[in-house]
Amino acid sequence: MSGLRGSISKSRILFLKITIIVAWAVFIGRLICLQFIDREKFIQAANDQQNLVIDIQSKRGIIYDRNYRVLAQDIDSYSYYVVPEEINDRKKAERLLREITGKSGWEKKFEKYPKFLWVARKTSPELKGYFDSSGIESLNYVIEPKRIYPSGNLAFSLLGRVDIDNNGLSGLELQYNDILSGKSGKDILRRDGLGYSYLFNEKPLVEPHPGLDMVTTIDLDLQQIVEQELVTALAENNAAFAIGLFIEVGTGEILACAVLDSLGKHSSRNRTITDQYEPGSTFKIITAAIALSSGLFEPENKLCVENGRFRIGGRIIRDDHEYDTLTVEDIIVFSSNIGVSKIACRLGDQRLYKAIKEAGFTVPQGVDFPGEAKGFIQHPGWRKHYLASISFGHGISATPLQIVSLYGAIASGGDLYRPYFGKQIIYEDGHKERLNHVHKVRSVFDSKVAATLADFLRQVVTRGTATKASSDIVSIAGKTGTALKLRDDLKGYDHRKAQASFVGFFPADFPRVVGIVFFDEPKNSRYGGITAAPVFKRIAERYCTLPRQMARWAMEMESCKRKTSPNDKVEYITDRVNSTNDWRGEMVKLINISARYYENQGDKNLIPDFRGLTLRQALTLAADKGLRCKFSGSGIVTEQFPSAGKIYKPGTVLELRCKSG
Amino acid sequence: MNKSNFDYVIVFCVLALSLIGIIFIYSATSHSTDPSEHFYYQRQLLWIGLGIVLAATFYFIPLKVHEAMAYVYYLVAIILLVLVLVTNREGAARWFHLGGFAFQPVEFTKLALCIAMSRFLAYRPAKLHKFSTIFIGLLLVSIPTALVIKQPDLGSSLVGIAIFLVLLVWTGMPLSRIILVVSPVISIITAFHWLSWALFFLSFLLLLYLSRPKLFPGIIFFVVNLFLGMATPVLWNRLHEYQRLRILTFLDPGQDPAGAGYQVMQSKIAIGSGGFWGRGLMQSTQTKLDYLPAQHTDFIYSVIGEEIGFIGSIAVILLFAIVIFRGFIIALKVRNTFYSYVACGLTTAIAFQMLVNIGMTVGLMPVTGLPLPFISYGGSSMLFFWGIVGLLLAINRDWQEY
Repeated sequence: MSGLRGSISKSRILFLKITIIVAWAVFIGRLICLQFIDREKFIQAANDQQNLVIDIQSKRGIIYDRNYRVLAQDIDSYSYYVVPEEINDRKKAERLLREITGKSGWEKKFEKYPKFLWVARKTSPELKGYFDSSGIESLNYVIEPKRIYPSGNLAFSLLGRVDIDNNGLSGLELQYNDILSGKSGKDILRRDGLGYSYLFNEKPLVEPHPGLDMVTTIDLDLQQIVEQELVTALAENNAAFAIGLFIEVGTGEILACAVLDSLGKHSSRNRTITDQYEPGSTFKIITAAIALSSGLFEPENKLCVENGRFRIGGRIIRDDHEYDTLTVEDIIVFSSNIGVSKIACRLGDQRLYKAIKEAGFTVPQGVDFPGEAKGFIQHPGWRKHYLASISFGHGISATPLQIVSLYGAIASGGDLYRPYFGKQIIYEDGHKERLNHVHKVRSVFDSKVAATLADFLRQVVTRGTATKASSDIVSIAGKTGTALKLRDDLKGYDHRKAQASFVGFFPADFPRVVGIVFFDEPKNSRYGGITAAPVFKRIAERYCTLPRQMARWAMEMESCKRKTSPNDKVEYITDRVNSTNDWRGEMVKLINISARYYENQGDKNLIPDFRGLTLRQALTLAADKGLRCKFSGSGIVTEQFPSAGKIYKPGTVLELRCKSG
Repeated sequence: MNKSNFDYVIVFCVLALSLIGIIFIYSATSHSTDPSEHFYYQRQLLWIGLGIVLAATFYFIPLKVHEAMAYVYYLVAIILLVLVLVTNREGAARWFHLGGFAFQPVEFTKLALCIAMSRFLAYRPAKLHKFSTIFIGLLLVSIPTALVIKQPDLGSSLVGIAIFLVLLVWTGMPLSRIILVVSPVISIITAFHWLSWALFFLSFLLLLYLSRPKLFPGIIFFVVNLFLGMATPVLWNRLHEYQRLRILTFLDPGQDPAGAGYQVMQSKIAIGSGGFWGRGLMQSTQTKLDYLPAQHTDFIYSVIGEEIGFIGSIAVILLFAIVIFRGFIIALKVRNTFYSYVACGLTTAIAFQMLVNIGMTVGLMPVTGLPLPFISYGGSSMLFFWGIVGLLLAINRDWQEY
């Protein structure tokens, strides 16, 4: 080869060669730096800017009442979006969106967000029908769960609420959050270089795992009755707040729990559990119980009650009614402060303190609810007047739950049961597991003492301070309570402010339900016998005449008679049935009423025809009937299984198929 | 004698690069929100076809014609550049719009300048190493360069200067003279610190002493360098902050973190995250999510780096290396001086654009907006580089001519 080599020196060619080789070496070195050494860093940088990991809310479990009626449920809400760059006819899309949403200006938004644009968040099922049949190009939706409470604010202070991310904030929603909430899923939101975000994958990265359903001990019927009666009574008595708490005798299952502030507003504090009050006269029953248990007193023993005025430890105790002497029985029946004070003085502080502790006071009851208060009492070494005031329920504080539990122990023959709300978990495959077992804490009273006390309480209603609680329909036993409130400066009691309550159980001879009705600062009358007792009566009457309730009790009675069921509860009932004589008339009366009811309303236990209803209507109806719903599709119900007219048991699973109309 | 006078290797490599271009233009535009971009790969195919036709035309036109027409080409190029400036008064004046297509005269200018410069240098062997050669050459370069900068297209203007400098080396011009020619630029750059400028000026004086230029050019270089070194800091300090910033970002847009600096960062992320094998064809997330700027044109090498990784990136560089190496071989072996210069200048154009473009995508060079030869989307560029291939093949065929 010759060419120009002659005129260009060898070193010049070498120079060019080296330049090229060096340039190449630098490039390859740079590529090695980028693609090997710093590779992880750049992949990280790419991920950081491109992917945003977001949580997908899981569907929260349903909260049922004891008859599988829905208290809280997540429904699928549909959030719609479009991908504007895939829309060919934007004018048409604008028109359709304006018709459905009522908003305009979509075309501008299409320009601004070409990759992803929400058009409606968490829409109603009705709107979903319009969207699905609208034919808007590129329209799609994501399903987001939304918590609804079909009965509105019913049992608000008990159920609690959830936050925006569906996490339990308060009440049972908080207590059982782990069970209800499930596990949220994950998805990747893509972000592009132009600043737009959109969902990249059809399927989420990690599917959300729905929460489990749970059955509570709450009885929706009783809860409704209690709240309605409290609202009425609040207005009548012009009270600051009202409490209603009802528990099943012999199991500790809480049937109803309502806390209403003035004007019937639902309180966010569940005062039945988280707050403690001086119980007042309702506490006298424990003094009586200790008196009888100790063997120092018999119901017939007479005590001088000093005509309503008695000085003890430098303080004066008064009675509202002036008597000369009263028997131990009458001291409870007529609620004599002086009487119980004298009894207490003879019993002494040590004995009283021990018995009060054993009855479940000043220790938490272990109820499955967040923030339980435990009450307060001074350690023994009490001065005389303190001992006296303890005997009639002052100087001690207790939660309404503790008081009701104590009366529950009397009603069940002396056994204290741990109260609870959570009954069952329902797993995805349908199998159920108990959340809480019936737990007998201890035997507080001898059964004979309990029977005597129950008899006292019956007499309180028939001839004592709570005659306003006496009912023709159902026999009631109970005790009134009137506790003066401390003055605002905490120096002594304010005689104008009181808390009036009535604690009792029904039917008196066959106790199934024990409960409290409690008013804070009632303006009309501060006496529990006047304000709380009639409300208790109405609640008991309404509850007992519910056909469901009567039918159930009738069945229990039948099984008692046949002695077929071996469980403790029935044996106990059997004992009660055998030990008293007048249960028959009462229950026969009840059974007759319920039979009549069933004759008239025979179709109550038949599955209704859901076809033609909207999904929301169908769900409400099913919830009312105690049917558990599974549904597919949305819009109008077209098929159902089991079909209409079939007999069902509460908790039966109903399948609905829907089509959007 | 070579067995064949047709360089199949160059043709193979260039075809391979062009096909790679098609694949990655498809990958970079298929997801685009602008539906017209979806046809870019088809249009690129058309450009390649036209490029091959142009290459064949150049292959069959006798080289002597170009030699004779060299200054005519140059004049035509200047006229086109002026016309493009006159016809496009608003915004960037780079294109002629003919029917549906846009044509960039700057690509033709590169070719014309290269041929004209070669002709100029080849025809004055006696005065070749005189300063007058450099000055006239500089004049020849600076007219189109100034017009191109006016467009504004700084990147392309550098191609002409690169061709000129490499050709000076190729003619055997003493390195000291070339350095003298470049010295005013160095003077400006070093003038920002007194120490660096003092060092430069001492070296400059030493060079002046050793190379012993004639009195007149020597005085000119001395005065120019001294003036620039003194005036630059004064002028610079009198500028407003935003004016300085504008100049800096004009010279190196990578300095602007919100603009080109962001682009370079995204390009590095793309290439780096490709790793050894890459994310796979059509799998580049940086591209699909539009993080990469100008991903089918200036930053197409980033797409390649992300999708086919180190292997692919090296393959592309190697293909370019072969083309450039063969280009210089042709320039070396050819007997006719003019042919040799043309071959050298044209190969330089390929090498320079490739170095600047890839250097930009890997963050080694400033962001200039020069397309990657044969690969980046664009008709004018494609025609220009295939034209170069045609000329190189023709020169290779006629290497024995004097």
